[in-house]
Amino acid sequence: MPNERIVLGWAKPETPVPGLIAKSIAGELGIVSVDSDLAQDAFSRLQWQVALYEFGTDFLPVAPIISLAESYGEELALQHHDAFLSRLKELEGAGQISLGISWKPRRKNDSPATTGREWLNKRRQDHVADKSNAESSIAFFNEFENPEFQTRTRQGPHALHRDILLPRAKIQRLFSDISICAKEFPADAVSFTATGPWPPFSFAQPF
Amino acid sequence: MTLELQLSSAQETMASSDSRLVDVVDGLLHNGVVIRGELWLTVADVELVFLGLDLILASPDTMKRECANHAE
Repeated sequence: MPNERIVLGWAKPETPVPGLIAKSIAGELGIVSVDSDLAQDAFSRLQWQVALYEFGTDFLPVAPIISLAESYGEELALQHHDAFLSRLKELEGAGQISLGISWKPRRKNDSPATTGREWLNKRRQDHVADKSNAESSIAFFNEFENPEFQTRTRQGPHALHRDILLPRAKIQRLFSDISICAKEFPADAVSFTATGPWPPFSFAQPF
Repeated sequence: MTLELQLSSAQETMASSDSRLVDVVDGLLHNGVVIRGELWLTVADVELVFLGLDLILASPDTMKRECANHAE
């Protein structure tokens, strides 16, 4: 008795996929799916999607947190065919780089203050240092802004996260640029991560 | 002192126990095409489990407009 297959995403029907992942056709869209036994949790679905992307397949990825049955994925493809196809064309040949920068609140001097004035001065110095780190971090982040590339940005109290959509051919160059700029970055207590390339998760929503 | 930089491929990131990279992966799990509606889990053409999902199928801009309209 076969298990229901789980949808990893939608692709063009002629898109090649690795041997383990079956594909059915709904209209002009193909569905890329995997046996449910092999994708029982979000992380395993993510692993399949990354493998699919690294194989060279362009596809519109389902959020890994969702376990989407193939039959329902077909219905969606038929129901929203034009929007899916249009989005898929926009994402063709592209991947996502995820950047994250975080800065820690600084404490210039951890020794306890002996007077109220001293305590206020310490706090002011820490605030200035913290603000300086934040501004430097954001400036560094913005070094990699490019009007050609779509981005999605989220900001927290001491962190900034940005996803960048760019052509596969330009990804390695971006990593190189990041490495070069990081060597010249003046601030300490700042942590920067650049990961990928990933399937275009943050840019997949077709509506 | 210079920036603490970590460059990591997708495979390296997924295999890492570094809390920063774990956070990256956690963020990715919730991005992608998100579905609203009813979902039946079926085995051998028998509908076994019904899940009423309320995950919105919309872009962030559309969601913001919907929320604003609802608030009015």
